[in-house]
Amino acid sequence: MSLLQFAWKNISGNSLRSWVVAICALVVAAFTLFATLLLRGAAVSLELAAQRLGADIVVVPAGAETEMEGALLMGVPAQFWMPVEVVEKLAAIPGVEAVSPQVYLATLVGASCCSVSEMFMIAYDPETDFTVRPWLEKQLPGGLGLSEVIGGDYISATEGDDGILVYGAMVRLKGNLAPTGTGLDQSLFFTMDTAAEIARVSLTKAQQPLVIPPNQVSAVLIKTEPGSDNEQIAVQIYRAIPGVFPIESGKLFQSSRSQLNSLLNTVVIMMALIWPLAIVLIGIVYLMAANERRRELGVLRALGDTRWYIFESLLAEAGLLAFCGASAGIFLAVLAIYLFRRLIMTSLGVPFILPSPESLAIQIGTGLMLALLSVFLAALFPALKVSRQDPAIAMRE
Amino acid sequence: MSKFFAGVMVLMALVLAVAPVFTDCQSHGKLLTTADGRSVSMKCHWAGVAEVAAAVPLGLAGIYALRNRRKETTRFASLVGMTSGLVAILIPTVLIGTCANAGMICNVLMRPILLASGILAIVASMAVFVLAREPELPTAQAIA
Repeated sequence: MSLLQFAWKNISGNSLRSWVVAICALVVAAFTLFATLLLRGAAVSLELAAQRLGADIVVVPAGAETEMEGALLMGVPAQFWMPVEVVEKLAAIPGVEAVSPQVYLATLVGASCCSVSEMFMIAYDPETDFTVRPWLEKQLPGGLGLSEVIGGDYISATEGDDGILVYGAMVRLKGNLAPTGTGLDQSLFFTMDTAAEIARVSLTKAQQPLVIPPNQVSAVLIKTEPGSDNEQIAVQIYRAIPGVFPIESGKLFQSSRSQLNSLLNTVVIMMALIWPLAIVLIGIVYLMAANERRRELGVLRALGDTRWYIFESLLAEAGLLAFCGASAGIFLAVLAIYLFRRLIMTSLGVPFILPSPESLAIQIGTGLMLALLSVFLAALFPALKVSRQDPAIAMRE
Repeated sequence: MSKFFAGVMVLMALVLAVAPVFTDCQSHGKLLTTADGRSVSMKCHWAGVAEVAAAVPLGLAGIYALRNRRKETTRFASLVGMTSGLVAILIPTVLIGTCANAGMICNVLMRPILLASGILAIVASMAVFVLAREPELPTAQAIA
């Protein structure tokens, strides 16, 4: 009988002990992996969202900052307006290289004239845009025409091969942007002309017309001159133009960043509690098991097995249990994070993107190693103690 | 061990049958309004109803595996469990689907619950199948 077969027989022989050890390994591996995937995914997603926006400063109507962040990060449709004259005033501010207005819209809820309910839509000005265009140029060199749209990663055609019904107007989905894990993935992008066309069609074909207030925009994206101080420009905008609020790209999604930090602190505290507790619990279980099995192990020693073999077999048993428990924990953690990522995003208020296969493999390896290390550490002392016992004394007691 | 996994099969059947009642868009007051003003259920509601067709055989297979002692019939019950789990996954993904907006409650909650239950039902059924293997009989050569 090989060492592993012997260890497996011992595991099947005491199911309660085996379950306790395996569940401890499962909890350690699952919690470590879940927390790492979540925090890493959220941090990467925030970076990607800021990159996708591509602006140094975003100007929104005063008081609409939270709504704007909610729309861009979580895809919660938001509508707010400011006069279009703001665009010219912003362009005149020293240090501003380019300005581009955007209009934020949303589809109707549960209406048959919109094939996707409550979808966030962004209309941009193709003449001045510097945020969507660089992405479009890679996929669609000709740009977007009238009634043509580009969607986030989650957007797919609902009518025929490439059609989406918006306020009774059929628009053609020309492609999808790369995933960011934020609300941008479930948003639709089109030109201001397409927005006007949808509004025109909606008057006769939608249950409720799409209203775009004339001479109003939702946000203005600003690109500053290279080497300029963004903070200084933001202060100038705040002072020069009343009723607007400038947000620097570095300070964008501040509420999500602070949410992420508090989440990180909670995870560290929970890990500091769970890990030692799991090691102590497994250690107690093994200590009890070693005492229970003293006679049995004494007989093995008397039959000629070495101390090293006894020590090895106990550690092999611990290793097998840790591996089984940790594998189950890793499977459950990956399943939970993959399937429930949107629920986690909305509950915690942070964006999330799935890691690349390489990054996932590294994180799975870390979770597995941590669980194996915990069980080995816990089983080491009892295994050493019982393997050093004199067989004659062990059998007599 | 086999009883534990059979219990998981029964539990997943219950989740598949009950979860859509509380997690589809209709349960949160969202209905589709047609052009003539009528309110109709969205397709996630029908996907939830169809899940009962996967939950019933899965639950029966689980109960059968829990109570039955013959390995051959337990293996058959686990095969039914695997098929039901697969159907439970296919209903919200391929066969019927859910609402188009990824942010709707059916996509945030109902679909992940159904997929997780389907996957766990398949894993538990596979475990029951493996544990219900016939012990290998010694060959004539080994006896000799």
